[in-house]
Amino acid sequence: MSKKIYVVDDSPAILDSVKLMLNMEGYEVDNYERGSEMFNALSTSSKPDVILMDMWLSGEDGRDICKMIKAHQDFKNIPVVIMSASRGLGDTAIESGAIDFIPKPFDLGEIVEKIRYYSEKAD
Amino acid sequence: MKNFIKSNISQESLALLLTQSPVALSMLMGNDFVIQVANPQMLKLWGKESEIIGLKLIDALPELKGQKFIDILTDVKTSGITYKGYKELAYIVRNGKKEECYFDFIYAPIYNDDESEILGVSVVATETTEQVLAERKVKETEYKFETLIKESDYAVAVYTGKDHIIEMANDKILNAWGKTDAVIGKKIKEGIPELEGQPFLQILKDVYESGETYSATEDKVLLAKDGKLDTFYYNFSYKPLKNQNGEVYAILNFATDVTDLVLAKKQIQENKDKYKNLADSLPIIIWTADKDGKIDYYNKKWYDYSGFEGIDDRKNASQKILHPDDFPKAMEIWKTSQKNKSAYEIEYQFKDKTKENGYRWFLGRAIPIKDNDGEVVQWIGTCTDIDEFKQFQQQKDNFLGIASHELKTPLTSLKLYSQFLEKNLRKQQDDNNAIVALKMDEQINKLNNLINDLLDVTKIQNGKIILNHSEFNFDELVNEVVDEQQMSTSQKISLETEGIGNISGDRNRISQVMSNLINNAIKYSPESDRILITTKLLENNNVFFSVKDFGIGIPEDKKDRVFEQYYRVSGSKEHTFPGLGLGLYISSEIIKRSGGRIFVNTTEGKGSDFCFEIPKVNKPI
Repeated sequence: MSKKIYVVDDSPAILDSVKLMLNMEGYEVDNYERGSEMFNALSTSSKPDVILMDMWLSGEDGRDICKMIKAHQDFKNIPVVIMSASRGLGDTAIESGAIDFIPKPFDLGEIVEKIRYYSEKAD
Repeated sequence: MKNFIKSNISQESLALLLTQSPVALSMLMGNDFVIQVANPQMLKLWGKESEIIGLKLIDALPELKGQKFIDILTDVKTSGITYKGYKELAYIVRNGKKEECYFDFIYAPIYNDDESEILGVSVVATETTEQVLAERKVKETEYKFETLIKESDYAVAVYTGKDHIIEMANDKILNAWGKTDAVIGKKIKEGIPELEGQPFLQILKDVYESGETYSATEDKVLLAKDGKLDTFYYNFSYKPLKNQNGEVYAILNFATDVTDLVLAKKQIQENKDKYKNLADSLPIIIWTADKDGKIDYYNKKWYDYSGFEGIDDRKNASQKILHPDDFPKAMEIWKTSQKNKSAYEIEYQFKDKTKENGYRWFLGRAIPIKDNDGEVVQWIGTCTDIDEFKQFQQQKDNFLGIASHELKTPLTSLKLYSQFLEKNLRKQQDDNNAIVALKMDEQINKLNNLINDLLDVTKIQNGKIILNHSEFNFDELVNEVVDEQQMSTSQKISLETEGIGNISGDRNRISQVMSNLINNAIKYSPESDRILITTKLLENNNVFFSVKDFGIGIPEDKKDRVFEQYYRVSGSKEHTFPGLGLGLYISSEIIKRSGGRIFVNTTEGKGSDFCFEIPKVNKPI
């Protein structure tokens, strides 16, 4: 069964391109523009193997969403990778409970490698 | 004496009378002027005892030899004409000492009873030595006084009487008045008519009446010289001269022309006022301090802004106005500046009295003014309100931060699309188009680097550039960077390295600096075919890295400016080279924060050698 990745970004183009790429690599991808929307989906849909989430989400802070996930008994083990164009904020992302931080823009190879690593690690 | 002798008074009575007379009397008889009578007063005048009575005058007072008195006595005895001497000089030996004496005296003939013969000469004398000497002294004093006035370096005049008649005026005062000695003897108001209407005549009147000295400094007076009324300034005094009864009989006027001094002072004051007005009209705070840094002047802006009064010392004023965070920094920079006798520049926040807990940003600058020996004689400082500029700068930095962040969002998807495309094309074995997609991706990387530079600048400005130190292999990093850069240029990048091994520092940032320097070398040596990279470990355990190109080089006077923000080597070719002018600035900041230094050796037209050195074991700054 293919791994499932939740991608959260307020930019439809990023959602689209990341999905395109991850699909090509054989991942099943659910896209969300809002962090809260994704958080609700955790309870209603099947849980993802990795969450790839942007930091700035048009009024929401990806780090806050990450904290909510990490504080939730059922979801806290899901690896969250935060991505941002603000390169200097990597430390704060880790502090919020993210397993890794990816500065934007990123290489296809880099993202695929990280998704593979964390999704397999979760097993 | 004739009648007196004639009467029938006994010789004894006569002698008694003479003896008791309060004036000095003597009778000198015969041709040899034998002293027949000399009363005690006369003996006292002569300075002799009564033993001399009965002696010839010349034997009793041998000092008269050569003096005129014997001759006069002889004349009187011969002619019968009485001689009156007035303050006549005689040298008399008294108490064994020859004294200069003066006398009023009468020599009168003494007749026999029938007045047919002159028997001798009577002498009546009064000593006037003291009077003569006193008069002489007065004369000498008067002479000295006159000489003093004439020779004085001051302008001096004496005005006598109520009408202030100019009795004496030396050349200096005549010259000062622009008058000749024709004014002497005239009333002052006639001699110097232009004084009418000025306060001096009234002052003279007051001094004459009150008997009190009046003195003034730098007083203005209008005097007509060469027919032209001009303004002069004098230090002068009117001193009343009093007689023995304490009554004022004249006024002594001393004066010194201080016109040049007063005009110079006025000029200085005018200049002072001019600069003060200039300083007060400026929108910046200006202060001056003495050689020791003690503040002695603030312009109006300081008082307007701070609301303070007077002149506080530096520490107090700084403590009162500076943001507590800025105070130690300001004190430190001032201390250093004072020690090194060097100028300083600092940005700090001043309390804004219009807002509670409000502060405004100021740029503080000070320069030492030095004498020929290089010693500081004064400090001049300014504080310029740069709050709006700072806000603008902040807005600009915020904007750049936001803009670069926003630019990265489409860039991220663009990059993914291009890579997706390349991968798909490769799968379809369409290698030609795959290369095009790859080139697209390379351009996206370049665009990303430009955006990162903008972002770095805003971070430097905000002090937010943070180095993440770790241990890494320096040689590996150099090889990595060189390999990457070699891919983008046809110039041969050759490498001369010493094995340096592991160092501690921010690997990404140091890599960024290396890439920047190599990139520049490539960019500014389009005609050249090689670039030389050298690395070595210095004696001080610093790691040295240099990039030598053989390109256009940098003019000597501009070589230190290349590390400034936005600076680009000027010249006709400037616009032909790409770039934002940020790379070297960012590199320089990274190296500085790594505890190292960056510099360039360059010759215009021959090429540049950009170098940096950083500690092998790095402590973050």
